[in-house]
Amino acid sequence: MEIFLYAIAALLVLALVFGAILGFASVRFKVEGNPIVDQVNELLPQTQCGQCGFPGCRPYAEAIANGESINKCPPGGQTTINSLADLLDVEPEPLDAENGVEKPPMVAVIREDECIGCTKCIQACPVDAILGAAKQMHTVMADECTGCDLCVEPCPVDCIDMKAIEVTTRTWSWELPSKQSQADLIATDLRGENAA
Amino acid sequence: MNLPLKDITETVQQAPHKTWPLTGGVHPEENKHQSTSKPISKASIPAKLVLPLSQHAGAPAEAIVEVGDRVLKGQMVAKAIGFVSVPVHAPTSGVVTAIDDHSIPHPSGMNDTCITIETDGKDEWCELKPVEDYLAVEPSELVEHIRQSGIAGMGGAGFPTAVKLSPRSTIDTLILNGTECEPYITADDMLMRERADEIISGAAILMHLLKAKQCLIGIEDNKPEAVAAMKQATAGNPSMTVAVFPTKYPSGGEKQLIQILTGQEVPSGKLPSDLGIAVQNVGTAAAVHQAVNHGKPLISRVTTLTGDALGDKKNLEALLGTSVGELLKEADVNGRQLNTLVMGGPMMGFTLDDMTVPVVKTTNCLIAGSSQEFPSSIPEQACIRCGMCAEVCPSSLLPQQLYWHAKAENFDQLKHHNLFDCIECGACSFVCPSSIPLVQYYRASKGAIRTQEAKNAKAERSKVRYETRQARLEQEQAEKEAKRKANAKKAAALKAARENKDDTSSTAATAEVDPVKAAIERAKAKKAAGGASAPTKAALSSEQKELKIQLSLANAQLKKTQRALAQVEKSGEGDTAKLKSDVEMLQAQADKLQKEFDKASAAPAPEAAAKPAVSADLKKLKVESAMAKAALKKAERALATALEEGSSETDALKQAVEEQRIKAEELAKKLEATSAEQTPAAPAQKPSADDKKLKVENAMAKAALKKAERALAKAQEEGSDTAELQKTVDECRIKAEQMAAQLAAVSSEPAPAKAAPSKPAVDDKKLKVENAMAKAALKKAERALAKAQEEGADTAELQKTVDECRTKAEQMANQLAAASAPASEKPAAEKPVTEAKPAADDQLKKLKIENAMAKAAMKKAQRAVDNADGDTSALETALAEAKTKAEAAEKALAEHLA
Amino acid sequence: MALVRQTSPHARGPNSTQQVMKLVLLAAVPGLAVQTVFFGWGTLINVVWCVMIALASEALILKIRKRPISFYLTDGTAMVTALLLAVALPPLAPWWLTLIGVSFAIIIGKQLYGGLGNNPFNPAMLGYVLLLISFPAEMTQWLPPSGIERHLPVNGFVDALSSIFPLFGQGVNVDVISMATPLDIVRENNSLTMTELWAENPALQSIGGKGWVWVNAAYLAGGLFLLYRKVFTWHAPVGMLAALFIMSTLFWGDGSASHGSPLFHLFSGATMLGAFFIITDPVSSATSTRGRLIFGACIGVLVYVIRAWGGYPDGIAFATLLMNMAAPMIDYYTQPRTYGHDKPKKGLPKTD
Repeated sequence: MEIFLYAIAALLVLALVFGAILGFASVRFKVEGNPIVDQVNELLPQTQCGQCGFPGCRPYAEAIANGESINKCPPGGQTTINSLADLLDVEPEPLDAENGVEKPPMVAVIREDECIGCTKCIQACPVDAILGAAKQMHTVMADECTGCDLCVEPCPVDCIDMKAIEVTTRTWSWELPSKQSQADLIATDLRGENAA
Repeated sequence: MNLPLKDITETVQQAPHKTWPLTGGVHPEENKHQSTSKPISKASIPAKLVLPLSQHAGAPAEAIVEVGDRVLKGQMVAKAIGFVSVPVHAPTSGVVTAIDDHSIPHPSGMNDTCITIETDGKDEWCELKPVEDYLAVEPSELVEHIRQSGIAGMGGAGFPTAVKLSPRSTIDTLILNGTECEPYITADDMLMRERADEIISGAAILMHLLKAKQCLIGIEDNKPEAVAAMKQATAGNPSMTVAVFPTKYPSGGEKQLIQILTGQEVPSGKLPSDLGIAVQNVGTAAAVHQAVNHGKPLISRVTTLTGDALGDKKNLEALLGTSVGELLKEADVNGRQLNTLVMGGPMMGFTLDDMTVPVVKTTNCLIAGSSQEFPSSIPEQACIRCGMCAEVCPSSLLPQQLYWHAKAENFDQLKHHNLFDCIECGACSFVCPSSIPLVQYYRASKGAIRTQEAKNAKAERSKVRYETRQARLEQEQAEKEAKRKANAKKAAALKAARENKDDTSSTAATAEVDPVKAAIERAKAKKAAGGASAPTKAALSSEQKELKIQLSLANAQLKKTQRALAQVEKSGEGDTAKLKSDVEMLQAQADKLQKEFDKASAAPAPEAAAKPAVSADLKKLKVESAMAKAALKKAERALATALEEGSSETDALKQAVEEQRIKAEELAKKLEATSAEQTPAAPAQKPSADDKKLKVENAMAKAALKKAERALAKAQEEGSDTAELQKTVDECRIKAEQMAAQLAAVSSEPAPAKAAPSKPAVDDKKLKVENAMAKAALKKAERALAKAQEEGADTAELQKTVDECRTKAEQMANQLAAASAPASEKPAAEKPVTEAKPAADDQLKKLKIENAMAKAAMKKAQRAVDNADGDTSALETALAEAKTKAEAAEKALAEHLA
Repeated sequence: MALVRQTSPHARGPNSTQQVMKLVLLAAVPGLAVQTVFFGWGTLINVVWCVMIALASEALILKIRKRPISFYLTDGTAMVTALLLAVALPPLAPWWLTLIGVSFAIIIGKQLYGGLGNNPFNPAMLGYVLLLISFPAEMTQWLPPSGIERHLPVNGFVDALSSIFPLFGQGVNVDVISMATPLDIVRENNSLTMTELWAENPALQSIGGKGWVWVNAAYLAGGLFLLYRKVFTWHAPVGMLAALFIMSTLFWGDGSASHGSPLFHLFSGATMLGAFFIITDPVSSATSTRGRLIFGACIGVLVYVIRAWGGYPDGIAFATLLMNMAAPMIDYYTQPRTYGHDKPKKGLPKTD
């Protein structure tokens, strides 16, 4: 009986000591990690287009952190979904078509002779990429435009076009060979992957 | 200068330069002898030259000629934009026939902007400006000369030479790259054999520019003739050494050559110049010689034409812009055999799929290969990890690992494995037993990484911009909110004050009233003072200003002297008498100035006041009124606080408020009267303001209508209850129509009141806007219709909407046309009256300018004559000419004025 | 005229996987011939049987994996695996033993890992070790090399065939005629000095044991041919042979505790076959030249350790598999220094 008590006492003491050590360590070596919202926000394409149903990338990042599904970002496409899945350690899902389809990168262009200078698009632009003043012609800073097309709808004279950013000899690069020569070699395999 | 071999052995006397072995490397079949049997010959001038604006690394040049211009040989046709850029010159004389997109030599096979010149066969040079003595010219000027000669690296990369000649660090070794390690290519080989002197002359210029102490000329040992020629050319020059090393691909890479010749490695991410080394191609050196000593820009280059499909393999000096097809014809191409056309070497060059592509500054070789020579790539097999790629890699990378990561698109790992140190030499692909196109994997990955980095950078920027905007909006919102709250509080206080009015007790604390009164008093005093001093201040004339400045200067001087005097008196040393007299004098002066200033400021005051008397009155009234209003507000506020605090002394405050109110009202009335007097034109503007308001309302009504319609459409689509919505729409429509009618009425009314010529324009604009909007509506409706049709929904309604919109748009267009027709007619009719004057004015202006210019020219000439000591006769005639010209101009002006 | 567009380099080296495998098969011919001479037709029959099983199982798996069959079958790698396993098996190994070994090697050892290039272990050695562990009796029944007795018990082709495939008739009883290999004899010995052992045992007539010397010499010749043709670099074989030599020199002696002379170890058992044909398998070995030197040396040491103190007749298979496991680590520590960098970058990029 006595030995039984000793054992319990010893275990108790050990538990207390190790508990104290662990407690100390968790305070002393606390990792100030990036809050998950910031990490998610980093991965989003920052077009601020609102196609996900949230008024910008950060709100969507916050929603994801609170359990919103990760497949609602058409501008980011599958790449973003995959990296989000990677970060959050969940299964990547295909893009939710309800929010739109993946499109090549776009840029808004104002047909300047038709612009009446209403400033509506300026108010709509989430990244302040449109220059202009009331009754003055507006123009889009192509480098800053995220291609979110939020400015198209408010335009009363419909003078904003979304144009795909074209590949030039300066931006062109080779494609991975697997997309060309290997296609016929393991076509059956590719089909298998798509089905999965 | 094809030296027989026995001469070669004789010329090789220098002690061989020590070389280091190349890491890795391969020995592909050389295939060089085929094209070295004939000397370099000149290609004939083709009928058409196509000059891409981007033949070099860096920013593309910008065309400075226009279609239809005649250009001479050597004339600049496009100028460099930015530091890393070079201009383009016309390779022969002719006429510019096009500046547009044309296929260019690029692995993508894409098009880019090119200048097309139709040659005239005259081959007429423009005026050449050689540098007489390059040692006497400023180095920066010489570099600029080389830059303006359009020279870019001719080895293949095409990096602007002038950039390399302006290094950040000091250079002590210039390396001339005559390696030409790629199989097939012999352009540099032949150039060294035949034009060694030009190369050496160019090298001397480069050495002078870089202040390099030595020049190493690196040549592979498979070019004995070139080595001999170069050794002979450098014979008398101890600072230049020809270094010969074993043939191995890719020893001609810049970094590899540096390793072979100096044993040093260029640190990753740094430039050779950081090691004090500059590497230039031998062709570039020859081009520099041509540019500096003969003034000839880079307009042609030696290109090797070889490959099994050619009957006559040789080196040609081709004009830049000559099409590849044209050149191949000169080399007797066999079209049936031709399967692969490679520009550059077989290891790093790229295939062309278009024969109209022009030769550019970097085109060192064209290989017309048969299908046996370059069999089409076999399908990729699995990597067996044989490690041969790692053995041959000149950069000691792990091509295998890179391959796995590239396949998995694992960019972090690729960067970690130094993907960007890969020089894409192709040695790994060459040896791969599984025929894996490794280089393509690396190129694709590099491109993808660059794209992704650009994307990330943009995303980061967008994020910042978005957040800044968000913050700004929030701040605005907060400000509004704060204002609203303050207003609400005040309103509540006022309300409370009114409610408390009856039951306030009469026990008041006078102390609380006093500050208010005092404040009002102070404000009044200030006002008075302001009223008095403002005109004086404003009316300070230049004379007064000057006086004032002098006065203050004198005062300062006086003070200083006084201080000095005090000090001297205190210490008891020095000449106090003199200082005292100085002080007195200064005092007198200052007094005098003060007096003068007073007089001056007194005199112009009435004068200045007289003119704007009326408006000044008005202004004063306005100010007073505003102040009265402010005082009233303050009083009210004080009253409110007093009430709130339940103090009893509110009666006095109330009275004060009342007083203030009366005063303010009085002032306001007065102000109105005055301003009515003064600005009889003001009411005329009112209608337009009304107009505007109406317009806005109209637009809002329209927008509401639109929204309602849209909602209706959506509802219809969804098949929900639409009766309510329909009603809303109708209401909105009625309202919009009403508004439109009102607007029309109003805008037609004040129109005559407005200045006649401006009216049609305004109308016109409005119409245009409406027209555009109608069009937009039409477009939107059409789009909706298309969508609906696609979805197979009920389209009758939509069709109707579209038709309506279309009619409206057409109406608008008609209206616009009608409106703009009279608008354009009217000015025509009014021409004699309105247009004549501006025209005359224009002419007058022009004449005046001409007159002024002539006078200026005359003055200049006069000055030149005055300054010249020698023979002035020529100058004098010029002066006389200028004088007559000026006189003529004056006369013309006078006539015109008359 | 349609011009072909493809990425550089447009010139291609003469290397190809098929070519490499063909050369390996060719280089194995002398060894195979000598083995046949000394151990009878069984060896040759085994080779044919193994190749058949290997091709069939590879085709089967490729079919299941929906890969182009002929494209992968013609690369010759399955044949090389089959050949290596066949020459390592006892000459009269029964057909089912071979079937199990080869199909395991191809299906489990190679295809289930993802096919050529993805297998971490040498498939042939995997199959061999499976058999050695599961069927130790059958795997140690080596025939006495011919020449010891002029009248070979199994010299006829039919005899050999019927021994391997009982279907073809009554074969010889392998148990009766089999005998221990020289390596076994030396390891089992704990009473005689080396000289006495050599004098006493007819199987140990020359340095590596009767017949085995010639087999090893033939494989050495084949290996030198492959080296000459630059199919692989010298690093792994030299590393292994040198390590084996050093180990056997260190523990050499004439007493009964001796494990045999260095030459005995170099020319007995599967030493040369292992050094030039087995550990040079690129897929499962280390990648860099430095790594291969280490890889080979470690195998040499392990081979000696297993031969001298282990429980199995030869150690090549185990040593190879053990070092296959260590290959990634060797690769990790032998990364080259990239041009222009101060030191090699190891491991994964830092993630933040």
